[in-house]
Amino acid sequence: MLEKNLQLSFKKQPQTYVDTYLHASDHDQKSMLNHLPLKDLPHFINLLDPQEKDHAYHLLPTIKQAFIIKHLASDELVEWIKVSNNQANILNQLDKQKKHHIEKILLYHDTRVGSMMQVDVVLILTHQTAGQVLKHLIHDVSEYMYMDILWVVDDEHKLIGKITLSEVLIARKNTKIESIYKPLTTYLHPNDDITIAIQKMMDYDKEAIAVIENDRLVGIITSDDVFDELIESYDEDFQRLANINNFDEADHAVKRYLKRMPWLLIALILNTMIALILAIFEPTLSQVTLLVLFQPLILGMAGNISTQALGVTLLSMDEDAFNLKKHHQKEIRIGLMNACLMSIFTLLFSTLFLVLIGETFQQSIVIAIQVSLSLLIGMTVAALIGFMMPVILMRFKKDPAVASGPLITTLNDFIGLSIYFSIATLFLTIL
Amino acid sequence: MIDVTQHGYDLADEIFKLSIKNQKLLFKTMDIGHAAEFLPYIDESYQVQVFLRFPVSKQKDLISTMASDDVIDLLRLLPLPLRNKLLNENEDKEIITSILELDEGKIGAHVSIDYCEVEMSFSAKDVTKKLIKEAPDLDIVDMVVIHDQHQFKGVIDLKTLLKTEAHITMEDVLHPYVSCHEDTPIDEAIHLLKTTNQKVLPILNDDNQLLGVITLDDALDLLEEAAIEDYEKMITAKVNLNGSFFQAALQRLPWLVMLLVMFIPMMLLSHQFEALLEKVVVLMLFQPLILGTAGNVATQTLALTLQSLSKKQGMFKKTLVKELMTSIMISISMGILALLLAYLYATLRGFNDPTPLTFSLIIGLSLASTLFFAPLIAITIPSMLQLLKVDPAIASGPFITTLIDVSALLIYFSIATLLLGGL
Repeated sequence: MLEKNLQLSFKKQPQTYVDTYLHASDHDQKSMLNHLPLKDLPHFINLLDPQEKDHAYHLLPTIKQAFIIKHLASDELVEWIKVSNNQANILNQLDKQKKHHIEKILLYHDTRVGSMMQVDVVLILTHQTAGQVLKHLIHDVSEYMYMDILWVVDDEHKLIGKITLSEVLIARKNTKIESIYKPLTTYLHPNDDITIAIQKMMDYDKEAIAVIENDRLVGIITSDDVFDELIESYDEDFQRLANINNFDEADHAVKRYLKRMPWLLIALILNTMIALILAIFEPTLSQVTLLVLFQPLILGMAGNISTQALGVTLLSMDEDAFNLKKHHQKEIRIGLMNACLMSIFTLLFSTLFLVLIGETFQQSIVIAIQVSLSLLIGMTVAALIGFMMPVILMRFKKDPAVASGPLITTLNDFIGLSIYFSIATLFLTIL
Repeated sequence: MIDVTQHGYDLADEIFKLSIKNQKLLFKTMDIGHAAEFLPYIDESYQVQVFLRFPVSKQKDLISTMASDDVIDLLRLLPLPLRNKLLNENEDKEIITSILELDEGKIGAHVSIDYCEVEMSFSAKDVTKKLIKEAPDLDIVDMVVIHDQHQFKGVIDLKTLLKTEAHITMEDVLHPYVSCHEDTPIDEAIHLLKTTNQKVLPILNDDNQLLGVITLDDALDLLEEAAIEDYEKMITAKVNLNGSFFQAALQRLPWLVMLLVMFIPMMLLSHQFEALLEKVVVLMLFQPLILGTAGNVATQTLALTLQSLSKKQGMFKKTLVKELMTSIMISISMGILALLLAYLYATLRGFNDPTPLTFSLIIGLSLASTLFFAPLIAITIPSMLQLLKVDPAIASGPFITTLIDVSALLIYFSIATLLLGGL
């Protein structure tokens, strides 16, 4: 087994090497680690997740441990140190400045930009020339610093812009940085929420965004850093909408059951109460049984337009510049317009349906008018509820996604049916 | 007057607010470089329209100036004759055409191709020279691809190149680089890129030749697109946060029309049971309870199923077994509770035909059975689609909801007919 593993080349098939390593025994892992050329070791360690990093660290001799620590980027180190059993040990291997930086990052809360920023950045001055900068990078800067983007500061160390490494490389040697750098278009503060970082990154710059405190650059956020956060934030939206946000993969069946029952039970009781109230319409229903055919349609379509409005509202609430008033107006107009169009369409649709199942044209059109009128009112109200509920819930500091739950369905149903039956009763008395 | 030198994202936002006439006017004088900056930021649904507002003479230049992955996204939306006309004379015509032919669900269809390529025998100095010469026309300049007789060998990033002594050849600086095949599903490829800490993920064809690379920002875009698509399927609406209300409303309308048509089976079913409903009108009043509860439970199960289907296979079975057990427990307890409540309801209203007992049995049994079958459908249909290699997320849409509604209704009416002595 081991013989075969050692024949694998990390250089040629890095992913296979890592996979084999992860499935090997402690003893074999140790041999595989020591088999790696020293210069490839940081590459390899980088491919492991934090727990595995910790494990590999234990298996290595002290000299190699120090080599790895020296050659890992600060954000990688932070991620590792957070879960490591060797926190003190790792921190002590760092030079004073880096140790200070990392200890500072560890102080930020998990949801803040400061906790995930990278601090190994290169600062350059406006009056330097491209040639000087290149020389500086080649001779004085460790290759483990982030240097795809260089950060331009003025004489007071105030951050004023940035320039990519390739731009410096391409520029003529005596070109001054001040004539080629780009002013900052956007930046972050270490106490900003991570969602803001994601948004700015998606909109402005997918390479790196500066994190600034008192005009000084304290770190950067790279696209690498927001990757997981982005996946997580969308998963969350999806789960909240489906009402599975408090769902835990590890939950036992009984626990899942206990989590879901309360809402269902409340909906059950409410529905029974509604049936009691709506019983006053029974005489109408028994006279016009055709009404029953369209009951699921009226309730369903109200539910559908409500889900659309709710879903879009929940998603836009995550946007950093959520403009309530603008969204307000837009959603009301959308709801009105689509409710109108749909009710016209339904008028034709239901008439056609009724004629096709053998009703007279006159009878069909009367029922169809009732259906489409109910749909018009029902859909408009449902669309309003769909976007108002999360907004109201947010104002009261509740999770806005609760609005997608059984309670809203029940409320929508109740309103929809009351409208439908009232209109039918009205028609019955008039005609 | 619009400042065309601002960031592409802000520029796109301002241009979008202009009238068509003013857009055309602006585009006449606009520098191609600025145009190539903002166009990718225009929402996909309007990108073609905006692009076509450029004077015809500029369109071709714009195509050759834009980043290759943005070009491919745009061309994919254009009709074939126009596509060919625009690509005519383009030096990357062949490769762009071949990328356009690939399946959009696979990573190969989303690669970027504007990078510098060198042979393994090149020295660091030669590579730097070549890069500086080509850089103005390139989109990706922070790395160079290394070939050996058309075979992909690796990637050297700018930083390493800078730190390498001038006479050292690429062969000596090559280091482990993870790549993947063009047929890899998008999410798998993105996951791979994420675990490697590389700047790019090289995408190879069957002959081990480089088709193109996926950069980190491509990956972020793909990730966002996929997530939004899933979300849109679930809320059955296109999310359009920037367009006018009219556009947004029109985008949601087709879904609503389709959903409306999907009610036909339910209407036909109710029609079959009209006699029953005429006799026992109260059944109609309990219909929302049956359909609503089944729908609520099924949505949760469906979302969980889709999520575990898109993750690892091993977890899938375990999750679903748990999910089924939960459904059984919910169905039994909700059935019993509904039975009690319905009995109370019937007594309160003084029913004698049907008797409170019969009525409560109808409601209790119907709710219990629908709460058992609805999640079952929500689990089995997507899993079957997965086996048939159809995207299971299709099922998250209206089809499965309709299926669940129709079966719930059928169960409800059948049980009622049966217990009322076969009306």
